[in-house]
Amino acid sequence: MRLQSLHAAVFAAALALPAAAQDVDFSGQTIEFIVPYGPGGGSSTHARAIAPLLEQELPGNPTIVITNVEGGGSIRGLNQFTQTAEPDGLTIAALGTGSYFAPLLGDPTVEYPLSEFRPILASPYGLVAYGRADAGFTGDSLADVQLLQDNTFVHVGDGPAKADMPVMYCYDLLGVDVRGVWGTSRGESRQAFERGESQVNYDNLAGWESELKPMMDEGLMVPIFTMGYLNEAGELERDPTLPNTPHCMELYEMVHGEPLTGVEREVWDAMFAIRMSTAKTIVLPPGTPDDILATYQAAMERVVNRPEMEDPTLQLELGGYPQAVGEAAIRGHRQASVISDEARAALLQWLADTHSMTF
Amino acid sequence: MPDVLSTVALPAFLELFQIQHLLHLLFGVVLGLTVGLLPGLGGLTAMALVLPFMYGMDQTSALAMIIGMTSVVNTSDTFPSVLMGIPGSSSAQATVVDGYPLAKKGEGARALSAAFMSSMAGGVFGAFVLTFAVFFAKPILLMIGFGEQLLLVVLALVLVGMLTGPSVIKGLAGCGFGILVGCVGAATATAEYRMTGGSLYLTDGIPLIVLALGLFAIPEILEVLRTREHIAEKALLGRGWLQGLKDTWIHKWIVLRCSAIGTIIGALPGIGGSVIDWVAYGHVVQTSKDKSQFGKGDIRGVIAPESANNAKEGGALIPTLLFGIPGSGTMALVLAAFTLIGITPGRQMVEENLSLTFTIIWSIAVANIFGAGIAFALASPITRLTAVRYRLLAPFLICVVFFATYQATQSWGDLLTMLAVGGIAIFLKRFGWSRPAFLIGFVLSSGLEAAFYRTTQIYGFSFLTRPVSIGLFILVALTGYMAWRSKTRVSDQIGDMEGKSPRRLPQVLFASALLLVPVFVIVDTWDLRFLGRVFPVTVAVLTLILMIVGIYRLARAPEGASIHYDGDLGLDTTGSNLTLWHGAGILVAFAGLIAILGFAIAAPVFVGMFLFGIARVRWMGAVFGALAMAVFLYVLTNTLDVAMVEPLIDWGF
Repeated sequence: MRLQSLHAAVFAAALALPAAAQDVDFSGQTIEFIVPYGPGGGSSTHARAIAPLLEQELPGNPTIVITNVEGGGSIRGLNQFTQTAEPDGLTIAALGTGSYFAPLLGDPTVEYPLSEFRPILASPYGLVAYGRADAGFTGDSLADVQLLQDNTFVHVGDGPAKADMPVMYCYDLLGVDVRGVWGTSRGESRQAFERGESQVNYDNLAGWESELKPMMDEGLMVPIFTMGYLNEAGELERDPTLPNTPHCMELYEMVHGEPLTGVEREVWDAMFAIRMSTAKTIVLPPGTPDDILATYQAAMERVVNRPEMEDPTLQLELGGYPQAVGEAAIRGHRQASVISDEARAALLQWLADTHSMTF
Repeated sequence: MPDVLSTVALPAFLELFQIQHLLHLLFGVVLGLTVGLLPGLGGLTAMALVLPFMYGMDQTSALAMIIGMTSVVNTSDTFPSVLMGIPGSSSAQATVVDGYPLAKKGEGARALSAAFMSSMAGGVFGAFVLTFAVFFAKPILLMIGFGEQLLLVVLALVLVGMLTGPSVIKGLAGCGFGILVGCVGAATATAEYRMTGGSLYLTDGIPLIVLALGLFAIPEILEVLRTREHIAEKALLGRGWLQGLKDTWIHKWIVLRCSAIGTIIGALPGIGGSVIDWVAYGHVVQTSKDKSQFGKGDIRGVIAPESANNAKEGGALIPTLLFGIPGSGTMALVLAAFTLIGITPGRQMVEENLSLTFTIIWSIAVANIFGAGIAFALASPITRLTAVRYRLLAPFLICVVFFATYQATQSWGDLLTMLAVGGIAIFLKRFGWSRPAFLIGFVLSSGLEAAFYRTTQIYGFSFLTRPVSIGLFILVALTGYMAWRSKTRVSDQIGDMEGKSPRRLPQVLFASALLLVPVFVIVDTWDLRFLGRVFPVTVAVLTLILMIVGIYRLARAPEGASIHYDGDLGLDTTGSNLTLWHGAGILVAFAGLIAILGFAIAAPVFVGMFLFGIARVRWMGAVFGALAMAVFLYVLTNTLDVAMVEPLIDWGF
């Protein structure tokens, strides 16, 4: 693999020198867009939202065909992408949260070089953890954390080594113990919460207006904390959707009297990058020449500035935050895919200690 | 409420009956019927096909189209189930059990028309219930927690007691095997992989349609090839469609009850759409006085599942609309389509957009009437296929089965699994192991484990004090008692042995081979965490005990005991020059051909070779058949989002 990518890099460099970005033209071509999840899922919705705009902005207006290759989380689709995609810009792929977690946890079926993908778009998503009002949650975050610490509430979700990981890690940082019941989708989890079988839950903030806010207005739930939002300067701040709700790191500081530092902070940053800032990413295959990458970057830059991006439905599908393109997408992808050995070891240790999961 | 009907429901109805909306609806219906006709393709494929065209359509037209399409997919999947014994989709398996024997008796048209009438009634019933449910169902749905879901799964499982076949031990053990096969893949509680042998394909479990095709289609195709000339053993009965119409009317209360079952199960969480047809089937067997003809061609066995599986679509829309949470893959795509036409799915959809809800409801009703009408008109002509010489049909059917199998996950694992299951199913059928019991065990496996685990985590046993749970628990106990007391136990096609007594050794050998399955499960899951292994190990131990008792009885029970069975004794194979081994060899050879050439080339080649070499048609006919197959595949790949099996050999293009 390493030799191959070296070849690819040399090849890419050789190509990049004479060719300028504007020479790339996709007239009459068909671009295959591999989505490694099912056709009804969030990644497919995201892809279907972006594809028609990208078609119009890529030089030559190619046709983009979305192919769903489901299986093993996202592993099957990305393995296939790695094996079959030529670095000619005619095949692109979507990454989801699981695409980052699987190699991080050392899943033996992963055969894709995550950090070598060349990202062209990263869509951030926000998360909010919330609790049932009838369980005693008030929306006063410090009191709510106290309530969480004093009780063992039920949390229904997909699993501590899956998309629930950042929220579980945050609970642990705050000294909170929840009783996890696993193996459900987000939809099932929310229904369990509405039925009162779980007292705490979390969700994607993109659905705040249509799905969560009505629950709050009915007096059913109150938000406890968000994961926060990384602004353009790279600083963590409160999520713009819920400016009155503190984020997890803020709450940590309020509870412990000092900010989180060291290897635990590194682990948290990695999870944040994976689950929030690069929640949905679109990539070119490893070894894609720089001119093709530059063409895509420029096209994506124009996509995110199109007037259609203001459409509320489209915003909902894309997470509702400013989209990361160009260097920002590359930086986000690197933070999510390159993790120090020390942080990785600490993460695995945490999973073993608090959730008795070994990998 | 009456206010709502006149201010919203009526305008929505009139809106739908504008000509362009009606045309869109009709287009959706025709598309849904066509896609449903092909085994392995369902609502998901149809939705994926139209999704790109949704941009810019007006809301009513778009809704009419997608709802029309998804409402009738379960109507046309009855054709392959009844006429060919090939389960058309994951919701048309129970129809095979009595529908196919009817086709064999020459009564295919009767079975089909009864099926379509029941489908229509069920679909309209589902729409009717949805009309009221959008106002009242929310608090009811909120009462169905994990404990209630567990009892619902157990209730469905108890119905297996009616479907074990004559030998209860073999039936229950078969159900145990189904549950164990359903454990393949990631464990619910711990996400640990079970019985995957390191293969990525198995990490998501075995797809239902792959299992169903292997269980039912493969043994049927091979049996017809080695026994007779046509699917219909007798001449086709004329005016079958009129009889079917009468049948549905005579059994209208069954239609009503099973429509209600379909709607309720479709709406409730945790049990899943693919078991609805079996629950309806088990229900009708249990409540019928004369059970002697079930499994041999009882029209009630067709009417019950067909009324239920169309009614479920209306039911499944209840949680989708009320909570904005899709209950199935198709519903997820329906919600995605909503987004495309500017409707934000979510909890306020019903409240803020009531006219839209009524457009949906009316569309379901009208689509079911159109769809059943079209299918009804086609029933008689298409039934003539069962009188066509089977060897002319067989190569096409085999291609369809392989094609359908591959659509499950579009990987080679699908084909290999289907062939392996088919190989075992030949003997399950021959030695009288109930395949319905196996399939129901499989379908309910993950739901049973998940509901059990979540219930014990959240409630312990205290869930049994909740009011709905108490009611369900009583229902489970009653159903179980009735199943226990029942004298007749139905299975699929338990044939006549014509008074001969079967040899014991082959039966004992096969049962002993099956014994390896629970043993393997125990060994494979032993090192997992407690929550990952407790369910499969418990089921494996129970299955093991049943198997040991069963093998002892097979070896020791007196002649004529119900446990002894060998279906081959009742088969008249004198009219065919093909044996079982020829048939199996042909299937394996076809798989080999696909591995070398890929499906797109192998299928026409196979059809031509089969027609020429085995059906003995003249070479021109064989070439014509091959070309027809090639054209069919070409059209298919260029219209639908389907894939052809890639060759295993890389030819470099």
